[in-house]
Amino acid sequence: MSYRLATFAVLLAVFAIVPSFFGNYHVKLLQEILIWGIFAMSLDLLMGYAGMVSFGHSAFFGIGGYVAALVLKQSAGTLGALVFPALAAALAALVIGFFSIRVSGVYFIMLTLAFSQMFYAYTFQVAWLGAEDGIVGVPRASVLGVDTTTPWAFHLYVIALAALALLVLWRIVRSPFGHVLRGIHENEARMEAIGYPVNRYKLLAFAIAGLLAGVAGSLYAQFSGSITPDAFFWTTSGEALLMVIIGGTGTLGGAVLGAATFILLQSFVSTYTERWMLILGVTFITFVLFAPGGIVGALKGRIGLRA
Amino acid sequence: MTPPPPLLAIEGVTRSFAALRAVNGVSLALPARERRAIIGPNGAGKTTLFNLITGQLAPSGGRILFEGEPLTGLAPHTIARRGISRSFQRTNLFPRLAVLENLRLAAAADGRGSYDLLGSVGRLAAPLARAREVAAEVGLAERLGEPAGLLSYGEQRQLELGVALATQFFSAAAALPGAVFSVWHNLSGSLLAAYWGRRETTRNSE
Repeated sequence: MSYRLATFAVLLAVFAIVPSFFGNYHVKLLQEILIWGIFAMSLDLLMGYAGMVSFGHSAFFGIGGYVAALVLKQSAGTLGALVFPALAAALAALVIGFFSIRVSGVYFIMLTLAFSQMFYAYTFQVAWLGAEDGIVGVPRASVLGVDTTTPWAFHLYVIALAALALLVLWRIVRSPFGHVLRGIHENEARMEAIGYPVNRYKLLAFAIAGLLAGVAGSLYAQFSGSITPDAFFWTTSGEALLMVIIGGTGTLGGAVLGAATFILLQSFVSTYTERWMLILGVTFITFVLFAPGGIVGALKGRIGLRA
Repeated sequence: MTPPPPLLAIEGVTRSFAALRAVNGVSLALPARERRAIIGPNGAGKTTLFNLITGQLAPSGGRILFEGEPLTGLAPHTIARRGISRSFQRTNLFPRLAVLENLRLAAAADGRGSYDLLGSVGRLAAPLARAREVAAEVGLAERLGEPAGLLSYGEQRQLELGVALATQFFSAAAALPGAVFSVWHNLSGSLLAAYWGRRETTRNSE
């Protein structure tokens, strides 16, 4: 445990000093990895622990992003940067979850996908959200009295939130609640039979995952200074899914590694060839075939960790 | 002297699947502290009857009363919390979780503490202690760390019994007024006899 904490602390310190040694491009790459890492980890809580494979997680990323953009343009403070995006995404997750968790497997996948695409279609068309251009000129905020408008402060702010998200999720999956989720993943009907109101646990997990996805979406809007309907598009959900699977389902840390793999491949391979998706596809197939436990599973030397 | 009211009363219960009447007007009254067996040929509707009692299926007609209260239409988890536990015909465990965790989940199913998001599992000592106790009762004390899916068939049936036993923990431990009732589905007579034998021995030695 202390060994793990030490590694974690060293990693944070290394991330924190990256801007002193690398240029703007690499710093932004790291920030993007961490933001997508938060998003992918929130999906991993559903996929890897509760066994709920959602294909509509982009809904909460997009809601977080749009709410942050709207509020931050009025007042660039903590409320707009974190509180409202998180709450709006959690609320949306409660509503979408209320309908979606009643079904499982492919029906759950299709329902969550349908909900997220409704948001895409809506934001793509309505003028007050900028239609297909989205919202631009999103300012960086002053969060809890810390001004994140300087590049350094923003860098540390992203690191702090990613670390916090990892720690909170780490606690959750090891808590009694997290163990109930694993039980549901293993055998939902038996959990119901021994006395757990399964749907309530699933809904709560869905809302927590939605909340964190909203935080990621908000961070992304602050990071890029804009948010477009693409945040809601199904590819956003699909990319998070790939990240989780490449990194290792049900490991949390794997989701961040998956995000890193995905984004690094995207940025480096795309400088050589436009067909970077092809390389990504091959990478993905290789992982699924030869390392179904993802990067973390392969590192642990155990195949099929939670395949 | 009037006989005590039945613990479980099944009154004219019917269940149809389309044109098939799987259970047709079954009535039963089971007093407390009795063991009864339901036998019949394949397809007689035994499993359906069990599923009706524990809420996996809803009856098409008739009603089921536990301690005088109707169970009809309640969700399985609510029925379990009333004190009715069950084993399943086919092994129905948490295959990738350890034996101890299978039992702990069942013993912690009262929900108290199970919405704890940030605490640690070890802090809930009572379910853990009960899980160890049950493991000993069903003869799995040596196998606590083994994933349930890796147990032999016989051991899985022992664990199946254990999970059902551990489920009753909260109704007894929380000192709810409720009685407990168990549906032992497809557990071998020798397994149950061994379990009851051990219980009688403990009781007599107390």
